Order: sequence, then structure tokens, then C-alpha cells
Amino acid sequence: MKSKDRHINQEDPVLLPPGDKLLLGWIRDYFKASSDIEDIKCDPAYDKTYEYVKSLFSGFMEEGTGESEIRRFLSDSVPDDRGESGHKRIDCITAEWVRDWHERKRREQEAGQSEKDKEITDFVIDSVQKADGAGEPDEVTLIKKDHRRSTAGFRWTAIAAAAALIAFFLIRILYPADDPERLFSKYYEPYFAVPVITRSSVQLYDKDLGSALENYRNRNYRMAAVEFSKALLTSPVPDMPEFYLGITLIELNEYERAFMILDALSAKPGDFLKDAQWYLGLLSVRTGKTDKARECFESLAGDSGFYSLRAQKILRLLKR
Amino acid sequence: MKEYTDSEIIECLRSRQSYVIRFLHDRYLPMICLMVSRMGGSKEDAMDIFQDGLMIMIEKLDNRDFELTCKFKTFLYCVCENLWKSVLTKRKAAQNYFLKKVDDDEDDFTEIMDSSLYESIFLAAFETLDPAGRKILKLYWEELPPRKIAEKLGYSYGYVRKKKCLAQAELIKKVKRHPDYQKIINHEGLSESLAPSSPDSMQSDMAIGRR
Repeated sequence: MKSKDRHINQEDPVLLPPGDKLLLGWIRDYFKASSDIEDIKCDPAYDKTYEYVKSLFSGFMEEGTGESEIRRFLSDSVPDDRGESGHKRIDCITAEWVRDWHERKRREQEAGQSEKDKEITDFVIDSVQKADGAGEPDEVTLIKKDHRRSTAGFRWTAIAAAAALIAFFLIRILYPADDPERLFSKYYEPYFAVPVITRSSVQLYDKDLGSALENYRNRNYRMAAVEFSKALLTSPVPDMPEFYLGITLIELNEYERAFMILDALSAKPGDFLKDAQWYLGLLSVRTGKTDKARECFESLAGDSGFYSLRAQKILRLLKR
Repeated sequence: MKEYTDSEIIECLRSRQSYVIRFLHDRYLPMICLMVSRMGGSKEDAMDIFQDGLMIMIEKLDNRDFELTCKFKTFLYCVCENLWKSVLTKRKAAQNYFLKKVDDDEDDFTEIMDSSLYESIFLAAFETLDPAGRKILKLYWEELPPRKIAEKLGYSYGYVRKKKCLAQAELIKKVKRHPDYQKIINHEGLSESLAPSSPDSMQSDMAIGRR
């Protein structure tokens, strides 16, 4: 289950309780598995690969040791099932592989395992056990000696990776992460303009608002600011134009006005409460109002919402 | 999770790169588990089958003339399916095997039952989500980046991120509220780590009690 946790953590910034994470991992695995099986059952490549698989299978049987007459008979008869579906054909071939596998396993029990089989077994078991453990970040590479070119490639990649890591740590040491401007530019990006219809069913479409959003999307922030201000007067629920006006003013570097608007918005419940808190927090970092920033991020970090994880990170940086 | 193409998988297996086994384990074991559980096996069975299936595949791939003309997962699935069928045939051949199995090893039997229950619970809960949430979650589970999902479905990036979070939360809530899920949790004694602690779960427990 550790591997599932790892996947979810990597992708999902929202903090979930451990039980929920596990459950989400199960659900996700189930749907992925289900869609994989569906995909396989509908694979159109079955028919096309049939002839190739037939020859492969015949070759395999010829190379095998100690083939009985019955086995040869089977290997010859499998390709004759041309009328059947592709799935069934691959089934027959893999069934033969499986029979061969079991036969060899039985022989091994009697006479001991061959070197090659032992090597494959050790490789798969070791790797699967590591995958079950899933904790270790380093990847064990077992490369054959005759793969010198790939080894050289790996060596250069490793040197480059080490250099990049050293550079990264040097930058981290030389430039403090909690520098307000860096922090702001790292986390700030203008809010995506969502079509009015998808944002909320309560808000009715407003001509000024529509035009303002269009200008906002096109980064025409001057016009957008004028139209959002107009929409504030006409919109039945002014939260949306108010919020976008705040972001637009940040884009225009009018931080004090943006602060006033977002501060008012973040103090009242509504659709844009958390978004406003997020941008107000960033703006406060940018303008040196650390207490206000902390207040905003603490509120966001205590909630299991979209901004929670990032707010926690910023709080840690602010506390340094 | 980094995705590998089929040719990358083959080359990595040939040069015994163990990380590709980890990738195959994470990516395809759920599929093999589902196949085995649908055919009456347990998770332990599925793991054994998956391991043996991989060994067979590697043995084939070591032959440099081997060339995949269909998807890697298709072959892996077929190998594992056949392996599992052969195991089932062996088991059926043993006299009164299943009767004995139920008596001797009740845990395995309940695990099989639970797997099919989970399947129906997950499906039922998923079907009740709104269409946008269903589409977004499905694409997320296919490892599609949020920006691509937004482009594909015609939503904004922000909407996709938010909707995904909401849909996940709703899905978890619905699964937890499902009476059959409660039964499994109570039976397995997993209440501390997995059972919901919200008042909703209390209602659900009460609903079972009334049955």
C-alpha cells in the first residue's frame, strides 16, 4: 500500500486523513485496473499480431530441449486456429508457455534450477520485494557487462545530476527561501478566469463582467480594471468582479488598492473567501505585512482545501 | 509515476533494470489482482501469478528476436490469465478442494467476497457523481496532467483542480457511507484507520443495525 500512498502524495496537494488516502488508492487502482482490462479486451492488435506470435511460438518450441511428440503436435496445432478471435489465439500461445513453465518448474524441483532461471528468479523476486517495500528512493541497477554504452551514458547522467544537485544546494544556501519577492514570485500566478456559468449558478451573466473577464484573459488589465469596477455596481452578487478586480490591481502593481479589496473580501464568507485569502496572503508577503500574511496562511493551512499544503509551506518559510 | 513505453520496458527488462519491475508492479498489479479476484482468487494468488507471469515474459524477452506486435500489457495479461487458469484447473482437480478451502481458510474466502463487494461499492459510488466530476477523475486516473484535462474537456485549469478535489472528497464520502463498506470495515476490524469518524458514519451504522 505504500506505493499507492506515494502516488497520491505526489499528485494531490490536498491533505487527506491516512484512511481516506488508502481508500482513494484502492478506488483509483480499481478503476485503473478495470479500464486496463477493458482496453485489453478491445485491443485491435490481437489479429495483426497473430502471425508474428505464431512464428515466435514455433521458434520457441524448436529451441526447447527434450520436446515430446505431443508437445510438437501442440505447437503445430495452435497456429491452425485461424478462425478464432485474436484474444483466443494469444491465449493458446500463452497457455502453452504456461504449460512449458510448469513442466520446467517440475523438472527443476527434480534436478535443481539452471543458472539462467535462477538469475531471472532472483531479479524478479528482489525487484518485486523492493516494489512492495517502496520506501527506498534509490534505484538498484543491474546492468550486464556487455551493455557498455548504456553504462557510459548512465555515468555521464549521474555526473550531470550530481552537478545539478550541488548547484541547487548552493543556490538554496546563498539565496534565502523566505525572501519576500522570491516567495511571491514563486507562488503567485494570476487566477484563471473561469467562465461565469461554471463558477456559480447564483451569479447571473452580466455584460460588463463578461467583457471584463475577456480582457482579463487577454491580459488587457487596464480595460479589465475599468470593466470590473463597472460590474461591481451592476452585478447582483459582487464577489466575483471584486475578486478579479483585486487580482487585476496586483497585475497593475497597485498593491495598496488590491490589498484593500482583497482584505474586505477575505473577511466575509462567500465563493471567493479562500481564493481571496490566498492572494491577500501573497500580497502581504510582497508588501512586507508579515503578520497579515501569517493570518491568511494559517487560516488556509488549517483547512483541507486546495491551498492548504502550499499555505503550510509558506508558513514554514515565514517562521524561519 | 513515470510512464514507460513498451520498448523501454522491454529494453529495461533485458538489461535487468529493477526499477522497471517496480513500475510494472505499480502499474499492472492492480489489473492482475482484479482479473484474479474476478475469477475467484485472492490478492496473494494474484501476486504469485504476477511474479510468475513476469518471469515468463522476461524469459521470452531475453530472446533478441522477440518483438512485441501488440501492447506489453496485453501479453502480460494473457500470460497471467493462463497461469491463473492453470492454477484453477489444478485446484479443481483436487477432490472437494473448494469445500475444504472454505472450511480450512475462511479468511481467503472472505477476501474473495470482499473484492467483489468493493467492486460493486466503488462502481455504485462513482456512478452517483456528477458527469463533470466523473470525467475529470477518470482522466486523472489515466495520469493525464490537469492542463491537458482542462483542454480536453473545455474547462479552465483552476476549475479542473477544484472539481477533482471536490469529486474525490465526494467519492470517499459516498463509499464510506455505503452500508456494505461499513460491513466490511466492521468485519475486518479496521474501524480505527479506515472507518469514517463523521456523524454520517453513525447514521450508516444505525442503518445497518435496523436491517
